[in-house]
Amino acid sequence: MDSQMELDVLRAQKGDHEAFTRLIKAMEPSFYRIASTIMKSETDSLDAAQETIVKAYLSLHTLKEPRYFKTWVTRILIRECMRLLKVKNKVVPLNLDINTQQPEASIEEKLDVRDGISRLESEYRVVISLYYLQDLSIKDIAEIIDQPEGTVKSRLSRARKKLEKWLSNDTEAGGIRNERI
Amino acid sequence: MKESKLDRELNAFVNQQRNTVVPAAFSKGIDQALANLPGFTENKPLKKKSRKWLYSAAAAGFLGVGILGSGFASPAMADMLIKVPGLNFIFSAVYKDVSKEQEDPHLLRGSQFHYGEKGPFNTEGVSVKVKIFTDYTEEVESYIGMKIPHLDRNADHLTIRVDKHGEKQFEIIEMGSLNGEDVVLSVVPYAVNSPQFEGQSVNPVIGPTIDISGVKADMLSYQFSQTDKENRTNYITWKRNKFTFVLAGTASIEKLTGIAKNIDNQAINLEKNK
Repeated sequence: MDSQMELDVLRAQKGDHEAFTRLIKAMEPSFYRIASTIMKSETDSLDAAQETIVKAYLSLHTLKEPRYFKTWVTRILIRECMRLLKVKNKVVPLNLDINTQQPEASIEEKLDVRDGISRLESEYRVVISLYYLQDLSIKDIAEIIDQPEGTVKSRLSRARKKLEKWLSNDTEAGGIRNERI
Repeated sequence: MKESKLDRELNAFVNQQRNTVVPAAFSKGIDQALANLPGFTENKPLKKKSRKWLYSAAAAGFLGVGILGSGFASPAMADMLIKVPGLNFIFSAVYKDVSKEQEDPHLLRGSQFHYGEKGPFNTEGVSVKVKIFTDYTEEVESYIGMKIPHLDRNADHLTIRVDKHGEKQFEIIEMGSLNGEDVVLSVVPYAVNSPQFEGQSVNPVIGPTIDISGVKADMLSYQFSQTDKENRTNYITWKRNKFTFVLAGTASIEKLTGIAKNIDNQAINLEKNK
């Protein structure tokens, strides 16, 4: 994290609202990318981001190391996303056939990676978002989602396998029509 | 090493995402959230015991009142929670015992209460209309259609959030600072369901029953730190006539009890003057 940001964290902790605004505005693109990858709608993404801002603002004093601000606020955002998903019952049950939840993709219709990601379960969308879009390390992701590094690795690996399958439209191997998630 | 098809597509996706301009509506929503932060228009420094009560209720989801000590919200935590029996009317109070976990300054601990996925009125799935008032006024009473017990109107930063779940179905969350102590009061007239509490604690969360003008109130205390005894959330919850109350704060139980008795007296008087 750059020193300007660390300085702003210290200022914000002392009550400098402009500094807090700068911090949040600097994180705005990340907020959007992460939330929109995890959540199903723009409205839900904004809800998660807004709640994150309020929570971050009023618990900023608990952050003892300013350099961890990005990780800290990302953690809050992820938790907000997961909480909203849970509350809104938008998590796809594990034993549900995907084609009962999503519009079918025909054999001819190629599924792009964006569609594929949106069809992943939320726990996979989170790691994909953090790893690829935020360029975070496995260690950082593990810290953010409160899971062991091994879990992050296996989720990434499974998410990739699912995406590979869907991208290849491999119906013989249980492609998009029959894939069970 | 040859790049796989998936990696090519992921790279293209990542590049595209990174170049995506944040939609104006999202950006505007961020600005709005910043502008609406409690106390944001004043240039007061954030105190250690800050507006965490105000923020959490203001930020609560539409299904219930989330009161968080410090940003805690863990959907995966339910499996690890210890269920707590023996309360007067609360059907669910749970906590994760973190007494043996090392404290990490970057990891947040907290607690929250809510009315479950079905909400206080079993109106699961119904969209909730949220209205915010900056004082307890006749406008609030007119909106709810009744007088309700409320926090002292001289409280600093008094904010009242009304969640309308349906016709005559309201959940009122009052937030304010009383003598330097941040408190949140949730009032639900005619609640069908009871509040649920969950969080992390280094101690068992159930406290002794408190007598409030002849009514038994339950006390819960989520202690987040072994070393910092002030890092906690206390709750008092009780029912009086048609009202279900949850009073939450970082203040001591004695102070909270005093506030609860004041609230309860108002409920008694409202019933008398009906």
